[in-house]
Amino acid sequence: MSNRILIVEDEVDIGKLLVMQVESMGSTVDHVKSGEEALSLLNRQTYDLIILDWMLPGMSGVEIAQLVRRMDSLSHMAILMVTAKSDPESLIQGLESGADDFLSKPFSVGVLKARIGSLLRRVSRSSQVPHSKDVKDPVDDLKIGPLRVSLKTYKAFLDGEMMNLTPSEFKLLTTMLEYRGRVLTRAKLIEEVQGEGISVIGRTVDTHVFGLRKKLGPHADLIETVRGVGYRVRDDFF
Amino acid sequence: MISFKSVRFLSWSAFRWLFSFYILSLLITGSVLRVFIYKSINLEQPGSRDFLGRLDEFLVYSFWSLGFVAFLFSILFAWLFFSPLGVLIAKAKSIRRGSFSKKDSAVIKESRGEWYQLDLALNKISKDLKQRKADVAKERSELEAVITAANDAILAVDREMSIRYYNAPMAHMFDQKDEGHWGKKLKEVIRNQTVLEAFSNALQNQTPQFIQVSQELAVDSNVHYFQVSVSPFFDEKKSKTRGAVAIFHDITEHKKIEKIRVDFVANASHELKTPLTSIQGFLSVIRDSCVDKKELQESFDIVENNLERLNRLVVDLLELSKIESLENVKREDLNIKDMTETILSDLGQEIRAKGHTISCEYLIEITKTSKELVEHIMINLIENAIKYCPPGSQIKIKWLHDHGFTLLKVKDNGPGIESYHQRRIFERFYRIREGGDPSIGGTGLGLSIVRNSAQRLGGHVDVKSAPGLGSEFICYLPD
Repeated sequence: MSNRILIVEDEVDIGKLLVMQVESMGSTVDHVKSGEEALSLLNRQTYDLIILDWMLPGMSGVEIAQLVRRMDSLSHMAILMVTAKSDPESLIQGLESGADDFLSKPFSVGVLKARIGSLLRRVSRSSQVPHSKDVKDPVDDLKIGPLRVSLKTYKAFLDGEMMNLTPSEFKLLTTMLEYRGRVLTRAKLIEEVQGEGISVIGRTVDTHVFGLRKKLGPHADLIETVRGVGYRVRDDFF
Repeated sequence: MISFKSVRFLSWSAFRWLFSFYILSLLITGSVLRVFIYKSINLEQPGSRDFLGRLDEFLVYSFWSLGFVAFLFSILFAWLFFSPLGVLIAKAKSIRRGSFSKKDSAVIKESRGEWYQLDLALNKISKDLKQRKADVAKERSELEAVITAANDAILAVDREMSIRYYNAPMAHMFDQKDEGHWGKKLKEVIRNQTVLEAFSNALQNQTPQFIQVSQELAVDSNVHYFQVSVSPFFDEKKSKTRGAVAIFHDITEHKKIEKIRVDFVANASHELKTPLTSIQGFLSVIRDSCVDKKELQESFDIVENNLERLNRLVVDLLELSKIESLENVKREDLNIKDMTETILSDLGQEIRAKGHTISCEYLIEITKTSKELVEHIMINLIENAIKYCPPGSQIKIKWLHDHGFTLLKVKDNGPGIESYHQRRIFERFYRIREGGDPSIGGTGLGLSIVRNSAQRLGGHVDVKSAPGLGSEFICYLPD
């Protein structure tokens, strides 16, 4: 299945680079140079992924992301923000505006492709189960690589062996699996994990992640740290 | 040299004393004489009573005549001996008025003994007084020149917050024209609540206050920014505040420059990274199309490593200039343990990769500081320890409080640093190359970032190390 990707980048050279890489991955690409053009294209055409530059003439990437996230028809589209900013505050702001992941300039082509691949897999997953958010999750068992998670019995198995997880860690693990291929800011992670009998405040989330990583043993790198921002849950890993 | 005025001077007190003394002496002499004669005369002898009657008559007459003589003598003596007193009184008065000049310095002849001494003493007093007056006037005019010439607006109030003094730049800050605000209440003239609060705090707490305010000035109807320091001043015994002095330092220009700098950093960041992105991206495109040419791979590696290094340099340089141009250092309550653990979790991959053991000790829980700057300090210090220590080293992090400073210690048991490097490692781009592993990707800016961050917080950073004995970096952050 060929994916359709929209690239919004005003720098000619970087635009060309992005187009080349995305095309080499076998996707169909449209390239525009401003937010306004992007919005008019989005009205006519559906895309699986939009690669957004933050600093654009006119509308900024963050503004576009916010607009896109408000449109129900585009809820399945993934957003990858490309930016020269590298300070955690800006990155968090970008993620909170609705971006699924970000890429700091200058980026390596390998990482770019990995991020695109990861986001496209997420899109295809969620389109297979179109209304997973509305309907009660029909999946009882999640089986990903060496990891099997039973949502019914609240048990997780790694390489066939049961993992000894605390309730907080179990919730954390399922949340991270749900969000694999995206970046979770600490605030978002706390919000998602928070619930019955589980109270995760402030930085204690790091302690839980630390514990979970330990228990994942050789697969600890499933949870990648994004310095100052939060965690990226890798999905190419499994 | 006795002036004409002194001739007419008669010391009434001297006259009174002299005259009373004479009269008393006459009365006593007369009485003793009378008793003596009465005793030595036989009253039985005829004619004796007659004699005594005449004696009494004689005594009364002689009392009156001698009394008159005593009166004249008293006047004469009072005039003769005390006339210099008049001159000296006149002189003291003229000294007090300040009209005494040096020309008529000696007014009493030397032959007049103590009077002359007194005159000399008066001259000395007069001279000292004049000198002191001149000194005060000089100091005052110097001070006034300084205050008037100062660009800073200066304002002094008394304990009741009435204005005691202000200079010309201060007048510009007031709404109205400069029309004698002396003696007015401060709140009638300045309406800025922050400033008024600073004044009352300075007076009440007896401690200097430092604030920043913005105010539109009537002069150019622009908003100006001021750094204001309000200091109380005390009475002689240093126990009570007598008032407070405020200095308003205009930092508008400074702010403008800062703004330009911050904008520059943001733009430079974007402008430098864009070409780097293109170079790096297209380099991999070329590389991918040359997979079969083995001899080119090494060249690609070298170019890529250097690109990576250039990129890190750009990031660190921008970080450094961002720290330097940080407008306000925001201080907030910071949970030290939470922050440290988060950073350690962020650096988890690097720590695990080298198999280091990290231990933390927290002797304080919370400190009021800037999260951003402290994070820069911690990340760079811990990253250095991770990078420069051989695999499996021990890194100790300790937070404590000592004499008004929050201390962060990062200690390792790595190779240590030679003492002649220690002085310079905080300089930009200073790197210890000899024997170092070239694969350790440092920019030579990490410790500059640490030092600058510490300085922005009013603190400093120190290193204790010896070759083979590990290194300890200690960061002192004032409360």
